[in-house]
Amino acid sequence: MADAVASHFWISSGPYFSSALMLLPTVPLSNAELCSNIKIYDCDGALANQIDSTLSNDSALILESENLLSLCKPQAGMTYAHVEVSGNVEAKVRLHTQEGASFMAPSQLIDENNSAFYPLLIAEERVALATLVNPFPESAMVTLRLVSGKRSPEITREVPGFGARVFCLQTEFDDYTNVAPDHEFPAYLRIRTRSKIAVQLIDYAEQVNRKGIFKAVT
Amino acid sequence: MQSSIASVKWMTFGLSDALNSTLVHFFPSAGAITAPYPAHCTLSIFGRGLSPNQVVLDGARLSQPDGVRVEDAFSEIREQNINIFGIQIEIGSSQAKLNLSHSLCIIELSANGLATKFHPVRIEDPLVEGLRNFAAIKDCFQQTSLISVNPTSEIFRPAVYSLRADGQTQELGMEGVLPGSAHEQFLPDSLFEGLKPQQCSWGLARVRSVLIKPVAEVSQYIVYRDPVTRRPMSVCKV
Repeated sequence: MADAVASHFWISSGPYFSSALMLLPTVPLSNAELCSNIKIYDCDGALANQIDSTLSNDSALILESENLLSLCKPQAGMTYAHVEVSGNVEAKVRLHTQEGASFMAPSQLIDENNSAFYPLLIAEERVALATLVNPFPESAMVTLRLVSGKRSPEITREVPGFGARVFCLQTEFDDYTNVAPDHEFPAYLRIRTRSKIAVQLIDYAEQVNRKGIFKAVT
Repeated sequence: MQSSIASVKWMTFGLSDALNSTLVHFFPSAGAITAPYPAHCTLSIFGRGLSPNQVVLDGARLSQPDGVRVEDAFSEIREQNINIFGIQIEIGSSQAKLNLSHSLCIIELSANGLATKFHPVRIEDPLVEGLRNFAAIKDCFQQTSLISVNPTSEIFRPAVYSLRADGQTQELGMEGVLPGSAHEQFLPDSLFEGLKPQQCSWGLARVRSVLIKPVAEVSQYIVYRDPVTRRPMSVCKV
């Protein structure tokens, strides 16, 4: 049996999009039931909920975020949490709006030697969210750098132990992301830390009638 | 003592048509060494109806992200209406002592304002033993397909299995992928027959576990497309 390596997610239940956690067994077993453990930490790292679930071999267990995060407090206008999934399961999160759905892989673990980078498109109708979850009990300092042409402003933020944070890049770097309508320019986000933390980028692209789709890097 | 890894390679696919284009974003990195040593990125393409070609992008720097639209580097993709093709990406440096294993790559499929971004398969990464598990989905938002990128000189047949409730596996009959090509095939609807749908807030969803055998020489990707627009919404490497 494989070691149960935990997956860590940043999950939100609104108001901009909803999420669904999908769990699949990684190892087929003859008894057709598997167990996974799900821990939900609120944005400040307090354990808000814990779920032990059984799975069947042939279908996924779908847990919607409104149920998972019902005990979590909102922060920065959103209700979100750090969700840890462990057990012999493959876990993915699907982001939903009325316009469509996309998958989000577990947050990428970075450390002193391994940073993260994400391509962005800065435009009026786009929003980029940098999401951070801290899998460890100690708080972590994280540096986010926006690279665009010859400019590379950076900010440093703290994520509490087991907690989560979300940063809208258009707000955090507002001096560098103002763009005229119908104009756009490419940029990159670099995220680095001296500790260890898990990161993910969620992009929002507005489509018709001010509705859009949120997407993450998988 | 840190060993030097002179180059890092990835293997992926690209999609190109009137609405879609493919971008390669790369980040040369030597970990704690952040001095802007020169680096280069080599793109190699192949596919059905496409002569293998290679372009070297000079001017990259360590710790500085960069990117290129594949159709700009290889004009033949548009000229010959190549819809799907294989790409090998290699990051290297003339500084032989650098360890480039910390380098990163992200592929972007850009379609009419929407971007689908994913991490490609890194060549020479340790191969996961056994079968990898993925979700095959059929609902109002997504349908599931498998893209295989076969750079070898032999036909490759993906080994894909559905998982039954009793834990037994059943192999799905997948088509062979021609040598030197990339090919997409949708998972059959029969995969979802007999599967009880789950009632979710967005409607009924059928999600079945699918097992895929990773292969060192061939990179494989699960693609989730919108069933109405057929746009790729998510791509997951195997």
